Amino acid sequence: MTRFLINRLFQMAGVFLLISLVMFLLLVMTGDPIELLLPPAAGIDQIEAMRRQLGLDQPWYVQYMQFLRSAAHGDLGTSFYFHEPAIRLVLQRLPASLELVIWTMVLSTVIAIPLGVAAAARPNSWLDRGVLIGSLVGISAPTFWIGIVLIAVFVVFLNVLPSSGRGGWEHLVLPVTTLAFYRVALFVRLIRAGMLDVLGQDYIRTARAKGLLERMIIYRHALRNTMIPFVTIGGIQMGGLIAFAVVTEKIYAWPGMGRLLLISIERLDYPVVVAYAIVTAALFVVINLTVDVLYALIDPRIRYE
Amino acid sequence: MRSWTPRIAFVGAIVLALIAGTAPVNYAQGRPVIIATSGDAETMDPMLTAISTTGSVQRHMLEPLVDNSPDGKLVPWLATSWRAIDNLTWEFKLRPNVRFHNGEPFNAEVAKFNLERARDHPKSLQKAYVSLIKDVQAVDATTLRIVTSAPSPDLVANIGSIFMLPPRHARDVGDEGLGRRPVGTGPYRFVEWVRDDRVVMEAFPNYWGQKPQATRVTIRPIPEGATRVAALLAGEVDVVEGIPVPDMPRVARTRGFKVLRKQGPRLIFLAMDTFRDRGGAHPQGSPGIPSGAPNPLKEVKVRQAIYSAINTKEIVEQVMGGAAVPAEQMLPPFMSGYNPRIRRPIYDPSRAKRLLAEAGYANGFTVRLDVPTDRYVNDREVGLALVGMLQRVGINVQLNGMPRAIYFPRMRVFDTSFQMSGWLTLVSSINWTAMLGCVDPKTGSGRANYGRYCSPGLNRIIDILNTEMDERKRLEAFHRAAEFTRQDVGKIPLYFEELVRGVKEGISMPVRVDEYVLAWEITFR
Repeated sequence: MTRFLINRLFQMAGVFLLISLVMFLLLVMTGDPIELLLPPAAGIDQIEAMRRQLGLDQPWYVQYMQFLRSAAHGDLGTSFYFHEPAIRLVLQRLPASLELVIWTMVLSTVIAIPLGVAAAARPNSWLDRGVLIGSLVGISAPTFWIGIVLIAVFVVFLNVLPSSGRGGWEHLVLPVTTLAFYRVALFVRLIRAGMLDVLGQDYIRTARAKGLLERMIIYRHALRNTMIPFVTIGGIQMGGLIAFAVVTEKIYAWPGMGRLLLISIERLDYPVVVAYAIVTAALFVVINLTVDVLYALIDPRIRYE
Repeated sequence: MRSWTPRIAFVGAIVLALIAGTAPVNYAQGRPVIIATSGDAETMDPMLTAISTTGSVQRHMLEPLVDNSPDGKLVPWLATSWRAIDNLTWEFKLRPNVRFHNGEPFNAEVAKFNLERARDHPKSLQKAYVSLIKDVQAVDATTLRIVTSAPSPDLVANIGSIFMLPPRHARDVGDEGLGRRPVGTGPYRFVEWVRDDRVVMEAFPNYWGQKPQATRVTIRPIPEGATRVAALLAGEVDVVEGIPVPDMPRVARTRGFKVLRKQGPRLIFLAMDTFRDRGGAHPQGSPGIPSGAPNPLKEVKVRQAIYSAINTKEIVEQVMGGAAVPAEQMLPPFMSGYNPRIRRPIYDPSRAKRLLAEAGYANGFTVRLDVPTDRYVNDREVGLALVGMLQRVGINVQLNGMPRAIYFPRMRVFDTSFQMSGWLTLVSSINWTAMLGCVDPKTGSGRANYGRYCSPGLNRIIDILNTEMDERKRLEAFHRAAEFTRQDVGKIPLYFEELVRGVKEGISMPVRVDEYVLAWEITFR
């Protein structure tokens, strides 16, 4: 197990290097941040001076080397706009994004698992058909549209929930619901498909023949075997949510990482975008590692050398 | 019988609570106000920002020597009066007995510190405003003299962008501290800043000026326009900066809310390549004209034809939803130098065709129009409308939209033949120099002149309005510049964007042309 973990650590370093390189190339090729930074009244000499000061007059590989050197000391650059360390800006907003994500995952799981199981246990019933159609809507409906509709109904029309910002539980309801739509739909289909597959297996028939309670069979035996794909997808969804719930964060003015990314990309605030990519990569690696460890816990047949 | 006392007390408490809860708020004592803006401030240091929403937040707590009235006129602020002693020297009298929030006194030394910081600090984004300042002298506590390296009639307007910070505090906390927590002379002092969530300020009891009616200000950044409108209509906020065009009628119609509108200073205009003779690959050829073909935009009649072919009224009404004012010159009416005698050409497609024929383009021509897609309100849609209008007179326009991160760098190197841009300053001479001055990297002239329009006649006039210290002669030069441009069609001004705010009924505030939303200008009815 230890060798496995060390192996993973090396992979992590490799991922970081690759991501930072790709982000760097993309950014360097997509426009000039100085243009956007300076006021319209600025003269050419001021533009050139700022370019030199930010090190943007060097060729990209020199800039990249400089970046790696600072990164080795934990310095991922200073934001052109905020004038604060980029990594600090990103990490400051991580708790807000995490709050949103954790509640979304909890809500999605709590709704999707019983629903998926129930649908699988009664194939072709009204419940089953309802779940299939409903999940289709949930997967197809664009996040932006869901968010605006929820705001129109609950904020403007009924005036029972706040429109934006982070605060108590009432501020969480709408953003989490918006994000959960897609997740619930996805998970419910996953669980249902997995369960249908498992419930047809021999060992389930054996368990029934042995006289076990139906509920025991479903939750203790069948569900556990559908957890592997669920945990895999769940992990990816979680990582994706933390890093890229951009649209929802923007609509609800949620002070998370996604909003920071959006505005930094718009104004080519390179250091923040690169720092963001690295933090996101780290998150994904950690989540994947957790998922892999969970596999071993769920399925005793899995062992790591 | 059990004692009635506790029951009476309980009921009495509830009744009292209900009465207290429904007591009318005493507005005479001031009340809190919540303002929703389109973006959070990125720093509290005025030297490090060029974004107006950020400046607007800072302006609550920090103040300049000279300010703009809501209509864009210069008004004394921390400086009470000023005069030009000679061609190169301005003398300012400063307001006495002004203190910063931390107790430090404001005086000429403080003003000197801030002006020099804006000019000399390596990270300053405000250098352009103070670049002509050669020397700043604190003659005494309330007298400041500024010596410029060249005649600078706009110096007073330019230093309005420099907000005063306390020097001792600045030394103590350093640049980082200044960026996080502002200390100024303004009517409000800083309470807290939760990034991307809110900025909270409270009225400063020892403020030198008039006490604001709004005693506590919370500024909430809500980037999504639809959500901002929802927050207003749900009663969560009192003022909203910037309403999406489709939502304006709804807010105006809803009882309890008003839409405040005013012509802003941002001009949207078209520029044409008058520098290159033929089409072809950039930089030798004009990239929007077919390779080898002559460049029609060099002919004044072609430019006049384009001007006549554009139905600005329709663009304003249909594309901008009425949230714009048609322009006939480069300056808006409220800025000095505006020439009231200029008129737009009448929308006349047949005249346009005639002019094109006279110029030798009876069959029209092909040209690429470059527009940004995420910079101005409905920029892409306006581009589409222009394509249709020009098609009607035989000009085949290929629309090329780009995000601003790509658009402006290309414009700066003149990789364009025909393009749409916006421009905004409140200093009239900068408008002329930047948009229509001959391009000169050394002086910064023509930095928004992406078509490289260069007329020696106009350039001479622009030189006058940049250096002439006599007000009357200066005004004359501005008027002549406007007439010249109208005749020669150096640029085609389209419209000025309107500034739009949404407010709750009962709130009154001016709409400022510098785009600031200032809580101390709010009055409650």
